[in-house]
Amino acid sequence: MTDPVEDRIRSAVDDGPGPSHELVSRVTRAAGESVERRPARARRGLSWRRPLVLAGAAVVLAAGGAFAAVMADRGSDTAVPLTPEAAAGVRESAILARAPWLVPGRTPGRLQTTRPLPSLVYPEGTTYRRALNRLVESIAADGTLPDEAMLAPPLRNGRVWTRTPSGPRLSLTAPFGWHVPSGRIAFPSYAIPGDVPTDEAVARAEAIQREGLTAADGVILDIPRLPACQRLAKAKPCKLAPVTPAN
Amino acid sequence: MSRTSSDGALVARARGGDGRAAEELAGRHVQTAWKAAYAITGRRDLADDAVQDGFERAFSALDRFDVSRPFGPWVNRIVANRAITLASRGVQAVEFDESLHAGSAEADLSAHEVRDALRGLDPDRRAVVVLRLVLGFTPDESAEILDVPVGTVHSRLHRALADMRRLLEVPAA
Repeated sequence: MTDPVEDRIRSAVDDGPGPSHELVSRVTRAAGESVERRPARARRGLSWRRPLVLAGAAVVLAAGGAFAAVMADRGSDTAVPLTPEAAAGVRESAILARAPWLVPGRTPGRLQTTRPLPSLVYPEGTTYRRALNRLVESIAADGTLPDEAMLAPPLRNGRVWTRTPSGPRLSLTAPFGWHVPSGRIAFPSYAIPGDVPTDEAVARAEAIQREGLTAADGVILDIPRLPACQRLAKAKPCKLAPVTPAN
Repeated sequence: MSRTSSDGALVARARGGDGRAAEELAGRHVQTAWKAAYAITGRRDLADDAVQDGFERAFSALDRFDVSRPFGPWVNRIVANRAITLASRGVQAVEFDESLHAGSAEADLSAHEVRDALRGLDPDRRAVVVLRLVLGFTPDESAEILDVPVGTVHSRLHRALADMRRLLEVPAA
């Protein structure tokens, strides 16, 4: 005899909300493109997931935390691992070559002292998580910006990710956010789920440094939690401390 | 493309570089996978991410898929894994929370109550409920996905159903 509660659960999920048409379209299109371009990837000897690798990363295990984080090391050439082709693409890009979160300088990038970079307008329905993943993937693949996004003027007042009538927009000045009030621009970082034993987490992190993300399943791009003043167009701008030689 | 092509035939064509076969294959399974991801995460944006990432991984690993086995459970397993990971990181996720039944105006009150009760479960128990009851994985398969002993799957499901009955004010079966 079936349990009526079990039946109700199945029905409630089956009859509940479904994915948007836009998402279904995006997922099916991506599946088709994935198999069609596979031979080209194989020729290049690149993994599809390679874009999410950090070259020269420093491994930091968050003691007692839920995650082991793999963080960018400012001593690296870039905060996203690049093939020689992708590195050439970044060098040739008027935008990416001066992105402080991607190409670290000798001192930390600050919002107050960085010339604003354009923003990217993504298709409607894109989430912040997706936008960041696509940005990093695209840069690491060939040193360019995501095909599906369009360039737009810089976001103002320190906004990082915000909804606009033309679609969601991501700041290229500080896509991973910035520290309030110092203005320090954040680098990308990666995480390993906390249920992975420490030894295994260390091994995975080392594998990422050595061989790329495909060498370690379950490693994901960290998505920062942005304060309202960095993501809501109508919120008061975040406070920014004046830059002094001391800070 | 024949509408009656089996999943196995579509996988074979997709492996040969047939993009339309891959699209049809993805289209057949995206709804179920998304609903499961939504039930696990309770959030539309996280369900979107789990499905996108899961399908991306599945289709990039299509050569490793065992064609003697059904495709649906394989891709659902990958998506469910992503959803569980994302749900476990709930506090780090950004964006805008929405209720589990947002956008489902056609759903009746009873279904809303069930979904609300499901959302009220501990995430570990909710994941077991979705894997066992919604996606139909066996206890062994669910244990493998969650990386816990089979006994834990049984106990979590038992407790989850007890919680659900209490929340829905249904007498024990």
